[in-house]
Amino acid sequence: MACRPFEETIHVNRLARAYVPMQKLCTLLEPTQTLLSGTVFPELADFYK
Amino acid sequence: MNRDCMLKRLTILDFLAVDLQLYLDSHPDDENAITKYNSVVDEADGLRAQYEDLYGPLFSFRSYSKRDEFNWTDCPWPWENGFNFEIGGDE
Repeated sequence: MACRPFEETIHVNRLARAYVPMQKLCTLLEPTQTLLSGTVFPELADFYK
Repeated sequence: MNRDCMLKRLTILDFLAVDLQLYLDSHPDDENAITKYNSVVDEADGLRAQYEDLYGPLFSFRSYSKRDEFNWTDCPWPWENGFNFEIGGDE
């Protein structure tokens, strides 16, 4: 099963509270790719299309 | 590996170390991240020592390889063209 790079079950116990799911370590970008994409985590490399 | 490749590799490794350290700030007991972080730091320091043996010190205040003379002043200064390398160019 593909590794999902963030927490999926969130136990929300407060209404109207923002919650950022915890990141989970799955794969890392190729070292040479990190400088160009600005991060080593593929899930955080967000290129504006 | 020539000087530019070493400098670029060192820049990448230091960038990896910083990014993994930021992840470890919020996930201090993530074993995989710790092993990856340690391997990156070890590789970077090994490469720094190798670089310094070939091309001289990277820092004026710290040396990764045993030096018996202070040759910080012999190397190209950061503002000189010969100091820097090209990051772009191979997107």
